[in-house]
Amino acid sequence: MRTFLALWKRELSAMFLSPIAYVMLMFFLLVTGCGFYWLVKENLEVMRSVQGLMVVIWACMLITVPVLTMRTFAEERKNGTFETLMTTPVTDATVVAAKFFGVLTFFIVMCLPTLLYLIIIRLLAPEAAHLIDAGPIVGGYLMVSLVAAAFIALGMLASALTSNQIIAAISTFSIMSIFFFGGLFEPHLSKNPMVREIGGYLSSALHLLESARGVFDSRSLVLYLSATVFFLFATVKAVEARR
Amino acid sequence: MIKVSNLTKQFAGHTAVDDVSFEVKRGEIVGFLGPNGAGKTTTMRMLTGFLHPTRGAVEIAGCDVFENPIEARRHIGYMPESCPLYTEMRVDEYLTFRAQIKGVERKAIRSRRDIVKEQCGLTDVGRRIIGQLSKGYRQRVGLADSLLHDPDLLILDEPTAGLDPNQIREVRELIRQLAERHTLLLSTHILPEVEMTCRRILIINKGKIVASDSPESLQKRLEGDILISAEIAGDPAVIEATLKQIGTVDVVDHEALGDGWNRYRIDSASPDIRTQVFECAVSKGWKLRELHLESRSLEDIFVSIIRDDKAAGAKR
Repeated sequence: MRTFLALWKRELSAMFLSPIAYVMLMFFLLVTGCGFYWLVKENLEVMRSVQGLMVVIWACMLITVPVLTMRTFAEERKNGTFETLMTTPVTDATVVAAKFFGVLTFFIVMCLPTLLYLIIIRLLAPEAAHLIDAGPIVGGYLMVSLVAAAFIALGMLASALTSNQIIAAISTFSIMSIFFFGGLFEPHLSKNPMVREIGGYLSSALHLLESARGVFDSRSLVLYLSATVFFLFATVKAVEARR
Repeated sequence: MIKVSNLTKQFAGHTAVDDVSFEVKRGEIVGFLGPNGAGKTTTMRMLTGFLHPTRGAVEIAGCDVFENPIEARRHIGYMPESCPLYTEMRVDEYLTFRAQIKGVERKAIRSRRDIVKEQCGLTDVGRRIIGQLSKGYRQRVGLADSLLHDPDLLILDEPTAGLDPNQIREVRELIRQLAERHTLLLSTHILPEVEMTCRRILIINKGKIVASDSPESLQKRLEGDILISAEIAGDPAVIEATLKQIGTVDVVDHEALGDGWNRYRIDSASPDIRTQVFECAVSKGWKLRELHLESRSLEDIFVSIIRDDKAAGAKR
């Protein structure tokens, strides 16, 4: 546990010490901020804007997750610090877990300022305050964290498989975009109902919309949890095998 | 302390380490020598458990490195070849982090950190960012890191690579101090380094151990061989051919010194042939301005062992 905490802390501090983290933070807040402004302007109902915000956050993940995860193993491997790390008395699983929670923590911290948007609405439009419903908001953010966890684990797997960060980022992005476009263009993808159904199951955007609407769907919960566990397991194996 | 048996590592297409077995006893200082690409780093990486071998086993302080890696790693302080560090961290920060993941007791971390900083001459740079330190200082940070958990065994892969002569001397002095309290295995391809610090030498070539002995007995092995240096003026081809006719001479080579002078290095299997060379020069009327017996350095031993190994390989 102590080694886990030490590694987790180092992972987080490494992220805050790199300029990439700040570029990502700025990008994320800019896009979600503009997105939310536009959503509130277009929608009469506050909660619909919140649902929209979840999809905007998901769209941002498409860029931020590959960029945040690409360095986890690829950078250590390139710099050779992987060797100093893996010759200390720590298990591969501890290292993978610490890196995973490090990136996930960073991602959640990055999302926190978006809660301010709701507070701003409360302050600027007291008459809409009673429309803000805590349940779906909590559900929405929980689902955002779950989706992020699954794709962070995927990104780490890609990073563990290569010592080239660009390759890691692009392969993560490619796989994520299946989930992105699969849902977004679901009605337009195919006339075949089966393809449309599969597209719907894989659509992270739909899952996020549902959860922010207050609908609890155990299928998507199982999908993201099992994907997270699977990708983390595969990452541990990749770390072991690439020796 | 270290027990290596039949260690083999194959990479796609070639065998980097080929059936290597050796032992290192507690308190020994062993130099691991070999030309570039001989398999030194690969062997060391397997000793630390970073690489898995294709075949064979490694035991460190009684723990099998591959069956029980965590326990075995507690006994090892390892500094990899290029001394990789997290360059964005401060020295103190880095050492504290490393002490934590190496399982140094919470209360002992600060004192261990201060001890190794003192040992490695880092006391003044604790607040500096590692990326801004010179190569010599980074090397010291790597060394301090390998000492943090007070390991029984230190494995150092080319600890003086890329340092300037002054820094090399410092690091060498540090290593000599460490040798008093730890078992040491250090690799290098710089021979004087081994001559000065190590009590036993392992020579590896093309993935195989070709010699394992103290520097003195390695020297003795070559004592039968005699190397004579002579400076003679004249046509080198003629002189070389004539010198080769002296009974026990094996190899003659020469280097030009300018103005018609050449320095000949004459390898002879047995007795001292200086008088014969002199008589030869007198009878042919060559001008001879220097003639002396050269003492064999470790470098010659190394070259000769590698050469013998090559010759044996050719015969096979």
